[in-house]
Amino acid sequence: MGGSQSVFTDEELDDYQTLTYLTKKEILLVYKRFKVLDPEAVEANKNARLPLDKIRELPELKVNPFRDQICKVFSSSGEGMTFEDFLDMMSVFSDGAPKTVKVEYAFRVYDFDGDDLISDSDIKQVIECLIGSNELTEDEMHQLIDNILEEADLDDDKALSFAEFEHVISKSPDFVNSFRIRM
Amino acid sequence: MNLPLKSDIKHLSESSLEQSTKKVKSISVHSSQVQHQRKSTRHQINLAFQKDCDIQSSSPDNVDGSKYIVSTFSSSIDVIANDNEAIDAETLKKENETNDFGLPSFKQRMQRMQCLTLRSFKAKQERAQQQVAQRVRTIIQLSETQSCINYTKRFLKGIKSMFDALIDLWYRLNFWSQQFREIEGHFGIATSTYFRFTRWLVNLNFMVFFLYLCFIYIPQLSYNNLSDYFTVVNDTGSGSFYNKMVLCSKSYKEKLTTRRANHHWLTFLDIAQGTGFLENTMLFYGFYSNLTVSLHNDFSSRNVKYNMGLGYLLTVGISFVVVFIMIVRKSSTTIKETVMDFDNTAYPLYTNAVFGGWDYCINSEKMSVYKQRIIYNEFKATLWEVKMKKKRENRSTREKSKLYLKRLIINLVVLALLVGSFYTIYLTTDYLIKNQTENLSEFNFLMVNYLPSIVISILNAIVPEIFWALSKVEEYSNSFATHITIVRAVFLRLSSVWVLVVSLYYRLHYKGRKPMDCPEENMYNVTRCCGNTLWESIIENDKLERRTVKCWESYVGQQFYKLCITDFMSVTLIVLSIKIPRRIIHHHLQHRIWVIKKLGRAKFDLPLQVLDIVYSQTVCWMGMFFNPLLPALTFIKVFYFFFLKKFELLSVAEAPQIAYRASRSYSFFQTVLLVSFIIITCLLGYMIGNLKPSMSCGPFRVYSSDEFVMFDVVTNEINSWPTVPQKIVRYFETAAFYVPAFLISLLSIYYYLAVTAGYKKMEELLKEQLKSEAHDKQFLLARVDEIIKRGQWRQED
Repeated sequence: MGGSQSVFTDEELDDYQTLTYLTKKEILLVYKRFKVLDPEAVEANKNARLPLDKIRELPELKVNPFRDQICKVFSSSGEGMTFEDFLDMMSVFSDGAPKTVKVEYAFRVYDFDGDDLISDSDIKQVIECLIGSNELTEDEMHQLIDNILEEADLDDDKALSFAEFEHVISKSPDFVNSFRIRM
Repeated sequence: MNLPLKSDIKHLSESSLEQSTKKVKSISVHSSQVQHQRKSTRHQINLAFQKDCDIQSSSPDNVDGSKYIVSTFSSSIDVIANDNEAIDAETLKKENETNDFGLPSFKQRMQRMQCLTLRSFKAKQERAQQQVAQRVRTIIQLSETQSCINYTKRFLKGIKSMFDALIDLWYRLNFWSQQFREIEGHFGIATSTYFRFTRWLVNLNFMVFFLYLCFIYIPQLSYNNLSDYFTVVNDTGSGSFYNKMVLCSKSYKEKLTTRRANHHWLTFLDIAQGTGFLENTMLFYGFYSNLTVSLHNDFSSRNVKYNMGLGYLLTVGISFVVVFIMIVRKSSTTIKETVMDFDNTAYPLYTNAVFGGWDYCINSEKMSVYKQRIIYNEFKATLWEVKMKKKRENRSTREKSKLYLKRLIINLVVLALLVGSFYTIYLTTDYLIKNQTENLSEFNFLMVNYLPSIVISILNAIVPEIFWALSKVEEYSNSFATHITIVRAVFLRLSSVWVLVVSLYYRLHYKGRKPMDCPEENMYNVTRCCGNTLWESIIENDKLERRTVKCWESYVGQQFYKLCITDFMSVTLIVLSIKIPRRIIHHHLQHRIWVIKKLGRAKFDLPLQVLDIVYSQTVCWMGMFFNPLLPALTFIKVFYFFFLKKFELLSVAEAPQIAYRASRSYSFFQTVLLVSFIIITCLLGYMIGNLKPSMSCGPFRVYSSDEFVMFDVVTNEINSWPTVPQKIVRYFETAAFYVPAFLISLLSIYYYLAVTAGYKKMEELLKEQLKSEAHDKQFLLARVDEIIKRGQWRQED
């Protein structure tokens, strides 16, 4: 790690550590992973904006059905991710991030159309992503969406607001376990 | 005015804006990286204050209150990058207002979203602000007294960074995390909980081993090897009983040391059975001395005594307390999930499956496709269950009675299977005990010796499979079927150990049977009278001296030693001789032979795997008292299992087919572990408080006459204390302590139950309230719509 240590000044590292949920060691690990995605560009400029195609090469994202959404949520400009965007993403997915932060980002990841509500069409998209090439019948899909809304939609507006999402996720024990990426 | 900011400013709520504008006017915010006018500037907050900025207003309190960091709801904290230019807040406010004239629900939603975002970023923001405050302090050169504080802060910061460095080092050394990353990447979190559980058991066993090392192994070893430095304090007994004890100890030692000629085959037999020379090692209870020793006065000025018996008993006791605390601590973190699990109405089954469904740790393409398949199966299964539930509700009486009859029969079959297995185990143990008194060849003797352990292993391998098959007929829901099968398997697994214990108890201590006559003055028979007299009563042939049980604790220890070895061997052998060949055959022949393709690779069945580990832990706890090295052996064994299972999972077996909930299986096994632990504690407690220890061996041999038990070593120690502490301890033994303590704990349980019920009620009420308010809102919205439409109508008119 000696090589990448010199990439950041102590001050920068301190700042990063204060502003994320990661330790310095982890920040350097994140940098290492970032660098692997496009060694040349990052070597030239550590704040290089890598195109989203490159970001999607990260093994965890490559196989993740929500990769496009994740990139959209974490990329600041919408056209690529800099190291800081990347660091921010890894911080949210780290073990140290509190549940509230994770829930908030999860909400944005699952909110496909970006209207701050997880509507039935969003849920449908989530399910389609989850099952990949396998197909549910129209009936089953409807049934599933209805069941979810029945559980989570408290105000019967056929969509989950953030508060509703947060409430139902707080009761879901697996969420925090699964919403993380190892360094 | 910076135009790119507009989009962000739209989302600012009025309140935060008002607060921020007040401050922003007096202080201009300078970002060192103006080119990053984008959402992620939150990482690079480099704020410098203008020299002329009022020191009073930038004192830490005000810094916290003011919003330097203007947050937007759409992403997170943004630093308004505005190079030496004050923000014209009034304009912003107007823009904000003009954007907010829309429907109330929209505005509300915006505000609500913003609150939530703010809250979730509060922690981060606060930290950032603290940092800013610190910078401010260094910039404005505080007076000397304050710089003192500053130094302390720096010092603390130095300590913190050192601490961080230590954590980093630990992180690097922690090779487990690498293991878990690999497993999680390939198989997801649920599978890795199994390995986490294993690692936790490794740590647990290590802790117990460490305690034993300090208070049992080292004292015993140092006494054995450095006896010149010690004085034996309590070696001055008198009376016929004491003489008999010394004689017995001597004859037992002689029996162990002179028994066998040095022959490889016999050495192997001894190692396999824990007899012969192995019985005379630290492995077994009988080896430990009962002496109280103190260092010679030359080496220590104070008189330090170590009572081996007391040390032994207390170490075992403290180990149990430590284990208990660790289990409870571990369970308490998962207990919440367990409660949610059992309270099915509150458990968001579908939401959990959908929004907690994807495992973000997965990084292999193969597993990704596999995971999608698993999730798909899970959806299908839950939907099918809903259908079945409806069907179940519509069952006719005839169908119902038929089903109940079926279930009853299957339960009876299961019961018969369980009882049959128990009886088989009992029979084999009995057979073992009987045959030990007969003259068998060494090999047959070995086979007979291992019979109970082997039978237990075989039963444990086969019977759960039958349970799986039977549960399919019962037409329970999938999750319930899994649960009930596991419960049955748990029952079988753990009870088999207890059956062994019961049959040993019956042979060695059952009061109803008549012990061998042991006339007090019969010196010829003193060596036989030394042993377990109940046991001796079934031996007719005097020539089989060496198969007598002189030291029943070591004998029991040998049984657990054998269980431990068999467990180790059977798990290894199953992987080597069944799973690996199956994998190889499957790999080469799956395209040619249909049956092989259908059979597939061996499945990595999570619950049963965890059960294996729980079982070996149970054996360890059971035998810990009789077999002091067992924690060390189990530590090595579990550590070995970790890598064996990892190998099995990664290259031999197939990932689990059913989507196991990480939380669910974990908390369930915690409970099983706790229950089995409590039962074992009770058994051991009974033994220590009620049974007569052996006369010829072990740290408690002085307490082997009829009126003593092992626990007397503690009672005697307390008796030797000064009166006041003695009285205090005595008080804890009386009913005056127990009755109030019992009542208080009952009352507190009642209190907490009442509080829980209250919270539940409260939750329901709040839910209702939320619903009715939402309805109100919808109703009002509908009214607004109506009014607007009517207005349009009129205008058109």
